[in-house]
Amino acid sequence: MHFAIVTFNEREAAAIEALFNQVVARGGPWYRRGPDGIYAGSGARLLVLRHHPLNSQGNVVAATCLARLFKDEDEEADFIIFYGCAGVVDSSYLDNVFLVSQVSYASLGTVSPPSTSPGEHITLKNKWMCYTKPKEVEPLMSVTFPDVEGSGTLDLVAITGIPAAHVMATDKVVKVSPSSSPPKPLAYGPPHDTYKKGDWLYADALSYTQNYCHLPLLVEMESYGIGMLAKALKIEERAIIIRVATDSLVDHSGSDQRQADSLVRFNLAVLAVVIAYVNRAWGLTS
Amino acid sequence: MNLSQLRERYSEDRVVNWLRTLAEPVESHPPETRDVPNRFRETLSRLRGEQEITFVRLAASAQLQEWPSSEQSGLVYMPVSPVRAAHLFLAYVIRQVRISGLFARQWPSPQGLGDDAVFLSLLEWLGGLRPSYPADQDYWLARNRMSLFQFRVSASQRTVGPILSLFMLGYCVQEKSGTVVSRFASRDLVRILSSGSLLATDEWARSAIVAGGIELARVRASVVPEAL
Repeated sequence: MHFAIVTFNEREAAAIEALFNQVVARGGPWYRRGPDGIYAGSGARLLVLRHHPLNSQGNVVAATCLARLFKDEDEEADFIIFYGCAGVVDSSYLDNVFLVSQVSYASLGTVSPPSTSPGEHITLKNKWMCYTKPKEVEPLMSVTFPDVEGSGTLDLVAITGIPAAHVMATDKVVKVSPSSSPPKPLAYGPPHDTYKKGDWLYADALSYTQNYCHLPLLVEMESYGIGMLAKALKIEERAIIIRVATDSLVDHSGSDQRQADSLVRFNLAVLAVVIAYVNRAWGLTS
Repeated sequence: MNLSQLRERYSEDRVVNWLRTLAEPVESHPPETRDVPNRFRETLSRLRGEQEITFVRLAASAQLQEWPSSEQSGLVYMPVSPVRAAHLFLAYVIRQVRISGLFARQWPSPQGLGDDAVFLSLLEWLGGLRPSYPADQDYWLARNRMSLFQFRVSASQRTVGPILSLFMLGYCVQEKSGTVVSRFASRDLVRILSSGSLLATDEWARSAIVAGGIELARVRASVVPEAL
Protein backbone atom coordinates (compact mmCIF):
# COMPACT_ATOMS: atom_id res chain seq x y z
CA MET A 1 0.00 0.00 0.00
CA HIS A 2 1.17 3.47 -0.85
CA PHE A 3 0.32 6.62 1.09
CA ALA A 4 1.14 10.07 -0.24
CA ILE A 5 1.41 12.66 2.54
CA VAL A 6 1.06 16.26 1.42
CA THR A 7 2.08 19.34 3.41
CA PHE A 8 1.67 23.01 2.53
CA ASN A 9 4.39 24.92 4.38
CA GLU A 10 7.84 24.25 5.73
CA ARG A 11 6.70 23.73 9.33
CA GLU A 12 4.26 21.04 8.29
CA ALA A 13 6.91 19.52 6.06
CA ALA A 14 9.35 19.42 8.98
CA ALA A 15 6.73 17.62 11.08
CA ILE A 16 6.39 14.85 8.49
CA GLU A 17 10.14 14.60 8.08
CA ALA A 18 10.34 14.22 11.87
CA LEU A 19 7.68 11.49 11.74
CA PHE A 20 9.66 9.57 9.14
CA ASN A 21 12.80 9.86 11.25
CA GLN A 22 10.93 8.64 14.33
CA VAL A 23 9.48 5.67 12.46
CA VAL A 24 12.79 4.60 10.99
CA ALA A 25 14.46 5.00 14.39
CA ARG A 26 11.78 3.10 16.32
CA GLY A 27 10.25 0.66 14.01
CA GLY A 28 12.71 -2.11 13.39
CA PRO A 29 12.78 -2.98 9.70
CA TRP A 30 11.78 0.38 8.25
CA TYR A 31 13.98 1.94 5.62
CA ARG A 32 14.38 5.17 3.71
CA ARG A 33 13.16 5.14 0.12
CA GLY A 34 14.68 8.18 -1.53
CA PRO A 35 14.82 11.53 0.21
CA ASP A 36 11.06 11.79 0.83
CA GLY A 37 9.92 8.26 1.49
CA ILE A 38 10.08 5.34 3.90
CA TYR A 39 8.94 1.76 3.52
CA ALA A 40 8.53 -1.52 5.34
CA GLY A 41 7.78 -5.06 4.24
CA SER A 42 7.77 -6.41 0.72
CA GLY A 43 5.56 -7.94 -1.93
CA ALA A 44 1.89 -7.95 -1.05
CA ARG A 45 2.77 -6.55 2.37
CA LEU A 46 4.79 -3.57 1.15
CA LEU A 47 3.89 -0.29 2.84
CA VAL A 48 5.28 2.95 1.42
CA LEU A 49 4.84 6.43 2.87
CA ARG A 50 5.93 9.25 0.56
CA HIS A 51 6.00 12.91 1.49
CA HIS A 52 5.06 15.62 -1.02
CA PRO A 53 6.01 19.03 0.43
CA LEU A 54 4.20 21.68 -1.62
CA ASN A 55 5.58 24.77 0.09
CA SER A 56 2.64 26.72 -1.18
CA GLN A 57 -0.90 27.25 -0.02
CA GLY A 58 -4.41 27.75 -1.26
CA ASN A 59 -7.38 25.80 -2.55
CA VAL A 60 -6.18 25.91 -6.14
CA VAL A 61 -2.67 24.70 -5.33
CA ALA A 62 -3.96 21.87 -3.13
CA ALA A 63 -6.43 20.80 -5.80
CA THR A 64 -3.71 20.90 -8.42
CA CYS A 65 -1.55 18.66 -6.26
CA LEU A 66 -4.38 16.19 -5.91
CA ALA A 67 -4.95 16.26 -9.66
CA ARG A 68 -1.28 15.60 -10.28
CA LEU A 69 -1.15 12.68 -7.87
CA PHE A 70 -4.35 11.14 -9.22
CA LYS A 71 -4.19 12.23 -12.83
CA ASP A 72 -4.25 8.67 -13.99
CA GLU A 73 -5.76 5.60 -12.38
CA ASP A 74 -2.36 3.93 -12.69
CA GLU A 75 -0.89 6.32 -10.14
CA GLU A 76 1.07 5.01 -7.23
CA ALA A 77 -0.78 6.39 -4.19
CA ASP A 78 -3.66 4.38 -2.79
CA PHE A 79 -4.44 7.11 -0.28
CA ILE A 80 -3.40 10.72 0.06
CA ILE A 81 -3.20 12.35 3.48
CA PHE A 82 -3.07 16.13 3.75
CA TYR A 83 -1.46 17.31 6.99
CA GLY A 84 -1.53 20.92 8.09
CA CYS A 85 -2.46 23.58 10.56
CA ALA A 86 -5.74 25.48 10.83
CA GLY A 87 -7.35 28.39 12.59
CA VAL A 88 -10.01 27.54 15.10
CA VAL A 89 -13.13 29.53 15.89
CA ASP A 90 -13.63 28.24 19.43
CA SER A 91 -10.31 28.72 21.19
CA SER A 92 -11.00 25.81 23.55
CA TYR A 93 -10.10 23.59 20.59
CA LEU A 94 -6.63 25.08 20.27
CA ASP A 95 -3.87 22.45 20.27
CA ASN A 96 -6.19 19.68 19.23
CA VAL A 97 -6.06 17.55 16.13
CA PHE A 98 -9.03 16.87 13.84
CA LEU A 99 -10.08 14.87 10.82
CA VAL A 100 -11.88 17.02 8.28
CA SER A 101 -15.30 15.51 7.76
CA GLN A 102 -17.06 18.29 5.83
CA VAL A 103 -15.92 21.43 4.09
CA SER A 104 -17.75 24.47 2.80
CA TYR A 105 -16.44 27.50 0.93
CA ALA A 106 -16.63 31.16 1.89
CA SER A 107 -14.64 33.25 -0.51
CA LEU A 108 -16.64 34.57 -3.43
CA GLY A 109 -17.48 38.17 -2.82
CA THR A 110 -16.72 41.80 -3.42
CA VAL A 111 -13.86 44.14 -2.66
CA SER A 112 -15.02 47.74 -2.64
CA PRO A 113 -13.78 51.08 -1.38
CA PRO A 114 -15.13 51.80 2.10
CA SER A 115 -17.48 54.73 2.47
CA THR A 116 -15.60 56.51 5.20
CA SER A 117 -12.02 55.46 5.95
CA PRO A 118 -9.24 54.62 3.50
CA GLY A 119 -8.60 50.97 2.65
CA GLU A 120 -10.79 48.26 1.20
CA HIS A 121 -14.04 46.66 2.28
CA ILE A 122 -14.41 42.92 1.69
CA THR A 123 -17.74 41.12 1.73
CA LEU A 124 -19.03 37.70 0.72
CA LYS A 125 -21.95 37.06 -1.60
CA ASN A 126 -24.26 34.94 0.53
CA LYS A 127 -25.92 33.38 -2.55
CA TRP A 128 -22.92 31.03 -2.83
CA MET A 129 -23.31 29.82 0.76
CA CYS A 130 -27.04 29.49 1.33
CA TYR A 131 -30.39 29.63 -0.42
CA THR A 132 -31.41 33.21 -1.04
CA LYS A 133 -34.43 35.17 -2.14
CA PRO A 134 -34.49 36.21 -4.89
CA LYS A 135 -32.78 33.03 -6.04
CA GLU A 136 -30.05 33.52 -8.61
CA VAL A 137 -27.88 30.45 -8.26
CA GLU A 138 -27.57 27.18 -6.38
CA PRO A 139 -25.27 27.63 -3.38
CA LEU A 140 -21.92 25.88 -3.64
CA MET A 141 -22.21 22.38 -2.28
CA SER A 142 -20.23 21.36 0.76
CA VAL A 143 -18.08 18.26 0.45
CA THR A 144 -18.09 15.28 2.81
CA PHE A 145 -15.25 12.80 3.21
CA PRO A 146 -17.04 9.47 3.65
CA ASP A 147 -14.42 7.48 5.56
CA VAL A 148 -14.15 10.05 8.35
CA GLU A 149 -17.46 9.50 10.08
CA GLY A 150 -18.30 6.06 8.75
CA SER A 151 -20.44 6.72 5.69
CA GLY A 152 -17.75 5.04 3.56
CA THR A 153 -16.08 1.72 4.23
CA LEU A 154 -14.26 2.89 7.36
CA ASP A 155 -15.06 5.05 10.38
CA LEU A 156 -11.78 6.84 11.04
CA VAL A 157 -13.20 8.86 13.93
CA ALA A 158 -14.25 5.71 15.77
CA ILE A 159 -11.05 3.82 14.97
CA THR A 160 -8.52 6.55 15.70
CA GLY A 161 -10.41 8.56 18.32
CA ILE A 162 -9.51 11.74 16.43
CA PRO A 163 -12.68 13.86 16.26
CA ALA A 164 -14.31 15.21 13.11
CA ALA A 165 -14.32 18.88 12.21
CA HIS A 166 -16.06 21.10 9.69
CA VAL A 167 -13.81 23.37 7.68
CA MET A 168 -14.93 26.70 6.34
CA ALA A 169 -12.38 27.11 3.60
CA THR A 170 -11.47 30.53 2.34
CA ASP A 171 -8.65 32.20 0.47
CA LYS A 172 -7.50 34.63 3.10
CA VAL A 173 -6.21 34.47 6.64
CA VAL A 174 -9.29 35.32 8.68
CA LYS A 175 -8.71 37.31 11.86
CA VAL A 176 -12.26 38.05 12.91
CA SER A 177 -14.57 36.14 15.21
CA PRO A 178 -18.12 35.07 14.37
CA SER A 179 -20.84 37.66 14.72
CA SER A 180 -22.76 37.41 17.97
CA SER A 181 -25.76 35.78 16.29
CA PRO A 182 -26.12 34.08 12.93
CA PRO A 183 -27.91 35.83 10.05
CA LYS A 184 -31.65 35.44 10.40
CA PRO A 185 -33.45 33.58 7.63
CA LEU A 186 -36.35 35.11 5.74
CA ALA A 187 -38.04 31.72 5.82
CA TYR A 188 -37.25 28.49 7.59
CA GLY A 189 -37.06 25.04 6.01
CA PRO A 190 -37.75 22.35 5.18
CA PRO A 191 -36.43 21.91 2.65
CA HIS A 192 -33.96 24.62 3.70
CA ASP A 193 -33.76 28.04 5.31
CA THR A 194 -33.85 30.97 2.88
CA TYR A 195 -32.00 34.23 3.45
CA LYS A 196 -32.28 37.66 1.94
CA LYS A 197 -29.82 37.86 -0.93
CA GLY A 198 -26.99 40.19 -0.10
CA ASP A 199 -23.47 40.66 1.16
CA TRP A 200 -22.21 39.07 4.36
CA LEU A 201 -19.15 39.86 6.39
CA TYR A 202 -16.78 37.02 7.22
CA ALA A 203 -18.11 37.28 10.77
CA ASP A 204 -21.61 36.51 9.44
CA ALA A 205 -20.33 33.60 7.35
CA LEU A 206 -18.54 32.15 10.37
CA SER A 207 -21.59 32.51 12.55
CA TYR A 208 -23.85 31.01 9.87
CA THR A 209 -21.52 28.04 9.38
CA GLN A 210 -21.05 27.49 13.09
CA ASN A 211 -24.81 27.51 13.52
CA TYR A 212 -25.55 24.77 11.00
CA CYS A 213 -22.50 22.49 11.06
CA HIS A 214 -22.59 21.18 14.67
CA LEU A 215 -18.93 20.15 14.55
CA PRO A 216 -15.83 22.02 15.71
CA LEU A 217 -15.28 24.72 13.10
CA LEU A 218 -11.87 25.23 11.54
CA VAL A 219 -10.80 27.82 8.99
CA GLU A 220 -8.08 27.18 6.45
CA MET A 221 -7.33 27.62 2.77
CA GLU A 222 -7.05 24.22 1.12
CA SER A 223 -9.76 21.74 2.01
CA TYR A 224 -12.42 22.99 -0.39
CA GLY A 225 -10.09 22.67 -3.36
CA ILE A 226 -9.12 19.19 -2.20
CA GLY A 227 -12.72 18.16 -1.57
CA MET A 228 -14.17 19.43 -4.82
CA LEU A 229 -11.45 17.88 -6.92
CA ALA A 230 -11.64 14.61 -5.00
CA LYS A 231 -15.35 14.57 -5.77
CA ALA A 232 -14.76 15.28 -9.45
CA LEU A 233 -12.13 12.53 -9.63
CA LYS A 234 -14.38 10.20 -7.61
CA ILE A 235 -11.71 9.60 -5.01
CA GLU A 236 -13.25 11.17 -1.90
CA GLU A 237 -12.67 7.93 0.00
CA ARG A 238 -8.96 8.07 -0.79
CA ALA A 239 -8.29 11.64 0.38
CA ILE A 240 -7.96 12.33 4.11
CA ILE A 241 -7.31 15.73 5.66
CA ILE A 242 -5.78 16.06 9.13
CA ARG A 243 -5.66 19.50 10.72
CA VAL A 244 -3.99 20.66 13.89
CA ALA A 245 -5.72 23.67 15.42
CA THR A 246 -2.67 25.87 15.94
CA ASP A 247 -4.19 29.34 15.83
CA SER A 248 -7.17 31.09 17.27
CA LEU A 249 -8.85 33.29 14.65
CA VAL A 250 -8.85 36.46 16.67
CA ASP A 251 -5.67 36.01 18.64
CA HIS A 252 -2.90 35.14 16.19
CA SER A 253 -0.31 35.58 18.88
CA GLY A 254 1.17 32.11 18.39
CA SER A 255 4.70 32.20 17.06
CA ASP A 256 5.86 30.21 14.07
CA GLN A 257 7.99 28.15 16.44
CA ARG A 258 5.01 27.28 18.62
CA GLN A 259 3.10 26.24 15.53
CA ALA A 260 6.03 24.16 14.33
CA ASP A 261 6.36 22.41 17.69
CA SER A 262 2.67 21.65 17.76
CA LEU A 263 2.74 20.13 14.26
CA VAL A 264 5.65 17.88 15.23
CA ARG A 265 3.92 16.70 18.39
CA PHE A 266 0.71 15.84 16.53
CA ASN A 267 2.38 14.07 13.60
CA LEU A 268 1.39 10.81 15.30
CA ALA A 269 -2.11 11.48 13.94
CA VAL A 270 -0.83 10.76 10.44
CA LEU A 271 0.43 7.40 11.59
CA ALA A 272 -2.91 6.74 13.29
CA VAL A 273 -4.72 7.09 9.96
CA VAL A 274 -2.16 4.91 8.19
CA ILE A 275 -2.56 2.26 10.89
CA ALA A 276 -6.35 2.29 10.44
CA TYR A 277 -6.17 1.63 6.70
CA VAL A 278 -3.37 -0.91 6.88
CA ASN A 279 -5.01 -2.85 9.68
CA ARG A 280 -8.20 -3.15 7.70
CA ALA A 281 -6.38 -4.17 4.54
CA TRP A 282 -4.10 -6.73 6.06
CA GLY A 283 -6.19 -7.89 8.96
CA LEU A 284 -3.69 -6.72 11.55
CA THR A 285 -4.46 -5.80 15.12
CA SER A 286 -2.61 -3.19 17.11
CA MET B 1 -8.23 15.23 20.51
CA ASN B 2 -5.47 16.81 22.50
CA LEU B 3 -1.92 15.60 22.63
CA SER B 4 -2.15 13.56 25.80
CA GLN B 5 -5.23 11.74 24.49
CA LEU B 6 -3.44 11.03 21.22
CA ARG B 7 -0.37 9.74 23.02
CA GLU B 8 -2.46 7.64 25.34
CA ARG B 9 -4.29 5.99 22.46
CA TYR B 10 -1.15 5.56 20.38
CA SER B 11 1.36 4.75 23.08
CA GLU B 12 5.00 4.23 22.28
CA ASP B 13 4.65 0.47 22.86
CA ARG B 14 1.63 0.17 20.63
CA VAL B 15 3.24 2.11 17.79
CA VAL B 16 6.56 0.26 18.00
CA ASN B 17 4.79 -3.11 18.04
CA TRP B 18 2.70 -2.14 15.05
CA LEU B 19 5.66 -0.85 13.07
CA ARG B 20 7.52 -4.09 13.68
CA THR B 21 4.50 -6.23 12.85
CA LEU B 22 4.64 -5.08 9.26
CA ALA B 23 7.86 -6.87 8.59
CA GLU B 24 6.80 -10.12 10.20
CA PRO B 25 5.60 -13.02 8.10
CA VAL B 26 1.87 -13.40 7.67
CA GLU B 27 1.82 -16.70 9.55
CA SER B 28 3.00 -14.99 12.73
CA HIS B 29 -0.51 -13.66 13.31
CA PRO B 30 -2.49 -16.75 14.26
CA PRO B 31 -5.52 -14.95 15.72
CA GLU B 32 -6.15 -13.25 12.38
CA THR B 33 -5.56 -16.27 10.19
CA ARG B 34 -8.44 -18.04 11.93
CA ASP B 35 -10.70 -15.42 10.42
CA VAL B 36 -9.23 -15.54 6.92
CA PRO B 37 -12.05 -17.39 5.13
CA ASN B 38 -14.58 -14.87 6.42
CA ARG B 39 -12.41 -11.96 5.40
CA PHE B 40 -11.98 -13.47 1.94
CA ARG B 41 -15.70 -13.90 1.57
CA GLU B 42 -16.41 -10.37 2.73
CA THR B 43 -13.93 -8.87 0.29
CA LEU B 44 -15.04 -10.98 -2.65
CA SER B 45 -18.68 -10.37 -1.89
CA ARG B 46 -18.06 -6.63 -1.84
CA LEU B 47 -16.07 -6.74 -5.08
CA ARG B 48 -18.87 -8.70 -6.68
CA GLY B 49 -21.76 -6.70 -5.26
CA GLU B 50 -20.35 -3.24 -5.99
CA GLN B 51 -19.62 -3.85 -9.67
CA GLU B 52 -22.75 -2.37 -11.21
CA ILE B 53 -22.82 0.78 -9.13
CA THR B 54 -19.06 1.28 -9.45
CA PHE B 55 -19.06 0.86 -13.21
CA VAL B 56 -21.91 3.35 -13.57
CA ARG B 57 -20.10 5.83 -11.32
CA LEU B 58 -16.81 5.54 -13.17
CA ALA B 59 -18.38 5.53 -16.62
CA ALA B 60 -20.39 8.70 -16.01
CA SER B 61 -19.10 11.94 -17.44
CA ALA B 62 -20.24 15.32 -16.19
CA GLN B 63 -22.12 15.93 -19.41
CA LEU B 64 -25.87 15.99 -19.01
CA GLN B 65 -28.66 15.64 -21.50
CA GLU B 66 -32.44 15.52 -21.47
CA TRP B 67 -33.99 12.09 -21.83
CA PRO B 68 -34.59 11.53 -25.53
CA SER B 69 -38.00 10.03 -24.91
CA SER B 70 -40.85 12.39 -24.19
CA GLU B 71 -42.34 9.84 -21.79
CA GLN B 72 -39.47 10.30 -19.36
CA SER B 73 -38.35 13.51 -17.79
CA GLY B 74 -35.23 14.76 -16.09
CA LEU B 75 -31.56 14.76 -16.94
CA VAL B 76 -29.32 11.83 -17.70
CA TYR B 77 -25.57 11.48 -17.68
CA MET B 78 -23.57 10.68 -20.78
CA PRO B 79 -20.86 8.05 -20.52
CA VAL B 80 -17.16 8.61 -21.01
CA SER B 81 -15.55 6.68 -23.86
CA PRO B 82 -15.89 2.88 -23.66
CA VAL B 83 -12.11 2.50 -23.47
CA ARG B 84 -11.85 4.94 -20.56
CA ALA B 85 -14.74 3.31 -18.72
CA ALA B 86 -13.11 -0.11 -19.04
CA HIS B 87 -9.74 1.27 -17.96
CA LEU B 88 -11.15 3.06 -14.90
CA PHE B 89 -13.14 0.04 -13.82
CA LEU B 90 -10.29 -2.45 -13.99
CA ALA B 91 -7.91 0.00 -12.31
CA TYR B 92 -10.50 0.22 -9.54
CA VAL B 93 -10.70 -3.57 -9.22
CA ILE B 94 -6.92 -3.96 -9.08
CA ARG B 95 -6.66 -1.24 -6.45
CA GLN B 96 -9.44 -2.77 -4.36
CA VAL B 97 -7.68 -6.11 -4.47
CA ARG B 98 -4.48 -4.46 -3.31
CA ILE B 99 -5.93 -2.34 -0.51
CA SER B 100 -8.17 -5.13 0.67
CA GLY B 101 -5.03 -7.19 1.21
CA LEU B 102 -6.64 -10.19 -0.45
CA PHE B 103 -3.29 -11.60 -1.47
CA ALA B 104 -1.46 -10.31 1.59
CA ARG B 105 -2.93 -12.98 3.84
CA GLN B 106 -2.63 -16.69 4.01
CA TRP B 107 -4.77 -18.42 1.47
CA PRO B 108 -7.69 -20.47 2.60
CA SER B 109 -8.12 -23.84 1.01
CA PRO B 110 -10.19 -23.62 -2.21
CA GLN B 111 -12.44 -26.32 -0.77
CA GLY B 112 -15.33 -24.71 0.93
CA LEU B 113 -14.99 -21.45 -0.96
CA GLY B 114 -17.66 -22.52 -3.49
CA ASP B 115 -18.26 -19.87 -6.16
CA ASP B 116 -15.63 -17.67 -4.55
CA ALA B 117 -12.97 -20.10 -5.74
CA VAL B 118 -13.64 -19.05 -9.37
CA PHE B 119 -13.61 -15.37 -8.47
CA LEU B 120 -10.42 -15.71 -6.44
CA SER B 121 -8.76 -17.59 -9.30
CA LEU B 122 -9.83 -14.92 -11.79
CA LEU B 123 -8.28 -12.22 -9.62
CA GLU B 124 -5.17 -14.34 -9.28
CA TRP B 125 -4.94 -14.64 -13.04
CA LEU B 126 -5.57 -10.93 -13.48
CA GLY B 127 -2.75 -10.19 -11.08
CA GLY B 128 -0.34 -12.47 -12.92
CA LEU B 129 -0.35 -15.00 -10.09
CA ARG B 130 -1.61 -17.90 -12.21
CA PRO B 131 -1.04 -18.70 -15.87
CA SER B 132 -4.58 -19.29 -17.06
CA TYR B 133 -8.01 -17.97 -16.24
CA PRO B 134 -10.41 -20.23 -14.33
CA ALA B 135 -13.11 -22.33 -15.97
CA ASP B 136 -12.81 -22.45 -19.75
CA GLN B 137 -13.55 -20.31 -22.77
CA ASP B 138 -17.03 -21.79 -23.23
CA TYR B 139 -17.91 -20.91 -19.65
CA TRP B 140 -17.33 -17.21 -20.36
CA LEU B 141 -18.63 -17.22 -23.94
CA ALA B 142 -21.90 -18.77 -22.77
CA ARG B 143 -22.79 -15.31 -21.57
CA ASN B 144 -23.22 -14.35 -25.23
CA ARG B 145 -26.21 -16.61 -25.64
CA MET B 146 -28.12 -15.62 -22.56
CA SER B 147 -31.05 -13.33 -22.25
CA LEU B 148 -31.20 -11.08 -19.24
CA PHE B 149 -33.22 -13.52 -17.20
CA GLN B 150 -30.90 -16.41 -17.99
CA PHE B 151 -27.90 -14.28 -17.17
CA ARG B 152 -29.26 -13.30 -13.79
CA VAL B 153 -29.03 -16.89 -12.66
CA SER B 154 -25.98 -17.78 -14.74
CA ALA B 155 -22.77 -19.17 -13.38
CA SER B 156 -20.49 -16.34 -14.47
CA GLN B 157 -22.75 -13.67 -12.98
CA ARG B 158 -22.97 -15.61 -9.73
CA THR B 159 -19.25 -16.20 -9.48
CA VAL B 160 -17.51 -13.04 -10.65
CA GLY B 161 -20.25 -10.42 -10.90
CA PRO B 162 -21.92 -8.67 -13.82
CA ILE B 163 -19.19 -6.41 -15.19
CA LEU B 164 -16.23 -8.74 -14.85
CA SER B 165 -18.35 -11.45 -16.40
CA LEU B 166 -18.98 -9.21 -19.44
CA PHE B 167 -15.34 -8.22 -19.65
CA MET B 168 -14.29 -11.87 -19.58
CA LEU B 169 -16.72 -12.38 -22.43
CA GLY B 170 -14.92 -9.54 -24.25
CA TYR B 171 -11.59 -11.20 -23.52
CA CYS B 172 -12.68 -14.57 -24.86
CA VAL B 173 -14.33 -13.04 -27.93
CA GLN B 174 -10.94 -11.74 -28.91
CA GLU B 175 -9.26 -15.03 -28.16
CA LYS B 176 -11.67 -17.01 -30.30
CA SER B 177 -11.77 -15.83 -33.87
CA GLY B 178 -15.16 -15.66 -35.50
CA THR B 179 -17.01 -14.66 -32.34
CA VAL B 180 -18.50 -11.28 -31.58
CA VAL B 181 -20.21 -9.71 -28.60
CA SER B 182 -23.90 -10.53 -28.82
CA ARG B 183 -26.83 -8.18 -28.55
CA PHE B 184 -27.89 -10.02 -25.36
CA ALA B 185 -24.68 -8.97 -23.67
CA SER B 186 -24.59 -5.38 -24.91
CA ARG B 187 -28.24 -4.81 -24.03
CA ASP B 188 -27.61 -5.99 -20.51
CA LEU B 189 -24.81 -3.47 -20.10
CA VAL B 190 -27.10 -0.74 -21.47
CA ARG B 191 -29.67 -1.75 -18.87
CA ILE B 192 -27.08 -1.62 -16.08
CA LEU B 193 -26.05 1.87 -17.15
CA SER B 194 -29.57 3.18 -17.55
CA SER B 195 -30.39 2.01 -14.02
CA GLY B 196 -27.87 4.65 -12.97
CA SER B 197 -29.34 7.33 -15.27
CA LEU B 198 -26.49 6.84 -17.69
CA LEU B 199 -27.52 6.90 -21.31
CA ALA B 200 -25.56 4.53 -23.55
CA THR B 201 -26.26 2.94 -26.91
CA ASP B 202 -25.94 -0.71 -27.81
CA GLU B 203 -22.87 0.21 -29.82
CA TRP B 204 -21.27 1.95 -26.83
CA ALA B 205 -21.96 -1.10 -24.66
CA ARG B 206 -20.53 -3.51 -27.23
CA SER B 207 -17.40 -1.35 -27.52
CA ALA B 208 -17.09 -1.25 -23.74
CA ILE B 209 -17.27 -5.04 -23.47
CA VAL B 210 -14.58 -5.42 -26.14
CA ALA B 211 -12.52 -2.67 -24.48
CA GLY B 212 -12.92 -4.51 -21.17
CA GLY B 213 -11.43 -7.62 -22.76
CA ILE B 214 -8.52 -5.68 -24.19
CA GLU B 215 -7.97 -3.94 -20.88
CA LEU B 216 -8.00 -7.28 -19.04
CA ALA B 217 -5.17 -8.45 -21.30
CA ARG B 218 -3.26 -5.20 -20.80
CA VAL B 219 -3.64 -5.28 -17.02
CA ARG B 220 -2.59 -8.90 -16.92
CA ALA B 221 0.50 -8.14 -18.92
CA SER B 222 1.47 -5.10 -16.86
CA VAL B 223 0.70 -5.92 -13.21
CA VAL B 224 3.70 -6.96 -11.19
CA PRO B 225 2.52 -10.03 -9.24
CA GLU B 226 4.42 -8.99 -6.12
CA ALA B 227 2.54 -5.70 -5.88
CA LEU B 228 -0.75 -7.44 -5.17
